[in-house]
Parts: sequence; C-alpha cells; structure tokens
Amino acid sequence: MTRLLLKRPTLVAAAAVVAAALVIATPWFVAEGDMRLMIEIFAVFAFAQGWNFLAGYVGIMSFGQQLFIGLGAYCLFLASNWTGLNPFLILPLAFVFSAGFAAMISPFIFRLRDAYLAISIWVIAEIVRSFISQRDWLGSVSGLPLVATREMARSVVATSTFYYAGALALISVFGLYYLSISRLGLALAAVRDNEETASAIGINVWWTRFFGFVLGSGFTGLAGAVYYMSVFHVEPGGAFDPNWMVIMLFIVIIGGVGTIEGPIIGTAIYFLFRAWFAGTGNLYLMMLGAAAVLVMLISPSGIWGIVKSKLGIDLLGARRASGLEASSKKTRTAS
Amino acid sequence: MIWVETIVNGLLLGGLYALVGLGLGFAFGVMRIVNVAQGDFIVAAAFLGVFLLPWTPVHPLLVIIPVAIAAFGIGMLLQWLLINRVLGHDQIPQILLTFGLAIVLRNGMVELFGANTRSINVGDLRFMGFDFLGLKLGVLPVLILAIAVFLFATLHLWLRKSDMGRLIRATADDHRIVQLCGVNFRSIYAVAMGLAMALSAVAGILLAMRGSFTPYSGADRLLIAFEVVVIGGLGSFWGMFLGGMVLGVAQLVALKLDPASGLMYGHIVFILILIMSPSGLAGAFRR
Repeated sequence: MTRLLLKRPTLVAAAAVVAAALVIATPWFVAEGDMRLMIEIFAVFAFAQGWNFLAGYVGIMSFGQQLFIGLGAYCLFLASNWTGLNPFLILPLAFVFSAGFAAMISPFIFRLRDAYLAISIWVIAEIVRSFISQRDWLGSVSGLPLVATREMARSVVATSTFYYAGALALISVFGLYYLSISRLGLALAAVRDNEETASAIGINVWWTRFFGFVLGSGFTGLAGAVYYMSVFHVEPGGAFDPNWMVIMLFIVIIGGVGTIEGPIIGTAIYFLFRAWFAGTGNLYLMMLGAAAVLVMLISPSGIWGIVKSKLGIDLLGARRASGLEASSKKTRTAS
Repeated sequence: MIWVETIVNGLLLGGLYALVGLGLGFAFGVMRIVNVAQGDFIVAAAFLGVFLLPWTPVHPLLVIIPVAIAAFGIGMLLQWLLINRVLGHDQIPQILLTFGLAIVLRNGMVELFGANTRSINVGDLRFMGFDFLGLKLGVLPVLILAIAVFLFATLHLWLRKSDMGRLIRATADDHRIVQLCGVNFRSIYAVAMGLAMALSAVAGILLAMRGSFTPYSGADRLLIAFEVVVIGGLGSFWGMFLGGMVLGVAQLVALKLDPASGLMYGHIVFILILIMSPSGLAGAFRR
C-alpha cells in the first residue's frame, strides 16, 4: 500500500502524458462539429473545476463566478478588436485581467463570510453586467463580435480553440492534482479546514485565501475567454448569466465537492442530461436543481464520495479531509 | 422640491426593502442559516397572492393574511423536511440545498405560470395620493411603510416579551444549551423559519402590489434582501431598517438621474458601504 502511494505522482504524470497525447491527436480523427461540442464540454468542465477549486480547496463559496467568465471573454474580445492582434496569442491577458479584478475586489468581499461572501460576488457580477449593458463602446446589450477570427481559416480557428480548451481540461485535472499536493495546496487545505490552527502553524491565512481566490478566478476568466472564442460573439446577458452558476454548482455537487474526479462525472452527467432533456426547457433546469437538493440530503460528498467510501477507490486522492489522510500525504510529498 | 419628493419616496420604498431583508436577517440571526431560496419564495408568495385575490373579501390588501399563514406553514415544513437534515458546523450543505431549491422553484414557476410580468391589483388604492407639506405622496407607499414599521416593531416586542420569543433568543445564543434544557432546538428552528418565510411573504405581496414581478424576479429580491442585511450589520434589527432606507433612496435618486440604471446604483452603494464600513451601518455607529 505504501509503495503504491509513493508511486502515485509518477502514475499521474504518465496519465497526464497519455491524456495530452490524446488531446493533440483528436483533431485528426474528429469532425469539426463534434470538436465544437468537445470545446464546450472542456470549457464547462473548466468552469466547474474552477468553482470546485474555490469551494472545495480554498474554502470560498462564490455565487458569482459568471463574473469572471464574462470578464475574461470581454477582455479578450476588446483587446483583440482594438489592437487587431491574434486572439490566440493574447489569451493569457484574459487570465491576468480576471485575476487582477479578483485581487482588486478581495480586500472588500473577504470581510464577509460564507453565503454573504458568495452573494457579494454575485452583486458585483450584476453591477458589471448592467455597466456593460449601458455602454455603447462595450457593445451594450447586443454584445461584441470577435473580428480577428473572421479572416482566419475556419479549420485553423477550430483546431486552435480545441487545443486551448483541451489544455484547460488537462490543467483542471492534472494541474489541480499537482497543486493540491504542493506546499500551497497543503496551506490551502489547512486554511479551509481550520483557520485558527493554520495560522498557529505559521500559515498566513488571509494571503493564502487571497492567492487561492485570485488563481481560481483567473482560471475561470481564461476558460470564459476560450468558451466565447469558440462562439465568436459575447453579450452581457449571456456572459454574466447566473445560470452559469447553476451549471457549475450542479456539476460539482453531483460529482463531489473537493475532489478532482467528481466534476468529471458531474460534467458527463450534465451533458447527458442536456442531450436527453434539452427540448423540455425549464423542466431540465428544475431537474438540475432537484438533483442538487437530493445529493445534499443523501450524500453531501456527491457521487464520487459514495464511490470512494463504498469501493475504496481513490484515483487522484488529492482530498485531505481527515487528519490521518493529511499526515500520510504530507510525508509523501516530503519524501 | 422634486428632490425632496424623490428622497421621501425613497424612504417609503426603503421601508419595504427593509421588510424584504427582515426574513433573511431574522433567519440568519437565529439559526445562522442563509436561505438562498428566500428571493424565489418571495415571488412564489406573490403568485399565491394573485390566485387568492378573487376570493379575498372586503379589501385586496387582506390577501396578505392567508398568504402569510401559508408561508409560515411552508417555512416550517421546509425546515423540518429539508434544512434540519443538513444542519452542522459546515454551512455549505445548507446553502447549496437552498440554492438547488431556488432553481427548482424559479423554473417551476416559469413552467406553470409563464414568464409574463404580473402585479397584484389593489384597485383604486394604487392611484390614490395626497398632499403632505406640499409633497405629493401615494397612499399605498405610505400604507406599506406603516405595515413594515408595524411588523418590525411587533417582531421586536414579541421577541422581547413572549415565551416563544425568549426561546428563540435563547436558541440564537446557543442552541445546544436550549437542547440541554429539554427543548428541541430543531422545532424552534422550524418556528423561526416559518416566521422568516411569513415575513418574506408579506414583503413579496407588498412588492407585487407596488410594482410588478415575473418568475425571474427572485434573484433581484434576494440581492436586495441580502444587501439590506449586510448594510444593516448582520443581525442588527433596526440597522436593517436603515439599510432598506439607504437602498431605497439610492435607487430612486439614481433612477431620476439615469432612468435605465435599474438596481445598479443600489448595488454600487452597497459595495461602497462595504468598503467604508465592513460591519455595516450599525457597526459604523457603534464605533
């Protein structure tokens, strides 16, 4: 058992290489239409994983992550349209801008806790949405097109976007894994579980939370930019839509908060649900909500939580819920 | 003079906003529970009001009573059947559970009633006005403010004087000790949630009488309630009243300057207050 544990980071690295190879090979085997769906799946998975990182690893619950989806998309669209630069090259700007915005608001919103913190981010999202809706130079209600991609070949645009989306998905799984076994990941887990103890062992609680929030929100912004790059058009009503939050919550809750594997299952279930019930409109949103309520009543740790406790499988065992597990992980990273 | 009128109207609207926040703030004060579905329950109460209106005798305003009673029952059931099962040190399950509930409720209402804009018709009352020191004021807004003040005062006195109020205050202080004294704190929680919902339902009906609503209004209502509670300083009773007033005035003054702004400036005022005084207005005065 110990030997298996010692080997796990190596196994995960091997899995990461295989997954990356699969992503790289995909455009040769998959039709453009299917690739578009895969971009959407990857982007939504990245949104969900970004929220999961905040809620399950940093311990910050937010009901306003659509704020960063919109900010990332608008940042990319505006920067590309104004300067005429290739959007694929300036994509990191979306991360920098969203992360910077998160850094700017955190001193104020961190004064609130739990649901109040969650809703204050939502309030900020509403402010930004109404601000953009009323400004003509930001495209007002009807939004903005992405000009630069019009002149590019369609297959190049599709393949490049697909690679970015694939990279997001890979980071959401393997990046999160390596982050969670790093020093920062341990500090985040300590702060999430018990702030007093964390600060007693020398962790700066405020800065750790700040860093986690900025990182997670920047990532969501990046994913938002990639998502809207694949649809070529962004408008405030869609980009800052609270329904993004509903989807993220559903995926993470159903799969299991604070696990890496859970949101993978959640994303699969979400897209199956959508394919089956897309025609039913509100009924399908109702089912997402009802499923979230049921999971909270039956098993708050989600489907992956049930699998883990019933079958004892722990693929990317990055969750440090109990003290025992945490100490075994710590020796592992030290060795 | 037009500005004085705007500010007075803002204060009148603010009383109603305070009432919107009261349910959320009361539930948080007693149970440390934030019911994210409160906004959508407020809209559901308005729908119930619309349907009970034809059967309401004497005056449409009286529709408040059956709706409040129904909301009390629903609130107790909600606490007994759902929220009491996920109580614990960790707040996340409660918040996510009520968030799920909000989604079900909102989309259920769209499915059942359509997305049209509605309001509760109170007949002539809506258009009646009077002159007060040269100001033109509506009868309905003044009446609504009176109802809000009455409910705040009644709740305040009831919590101070009655046995149940004493139990609720004790539970808010420490529910484990209440349990040790032989009172099931979960049933106190159910009563408190019932009350919170009844108060919210009254606010929902009054909002629907003053203005209009759609099944999607729940999010705006929740944000108003939440801002009122935070501006008021989380659990401060009269602070919430002040919070409502601040929001009401901010919104009407902003609408005068920029008619398309909607709730945006209310949100901005909230963020500004949060920046300047993290413990809300009540905290600012206490210091």
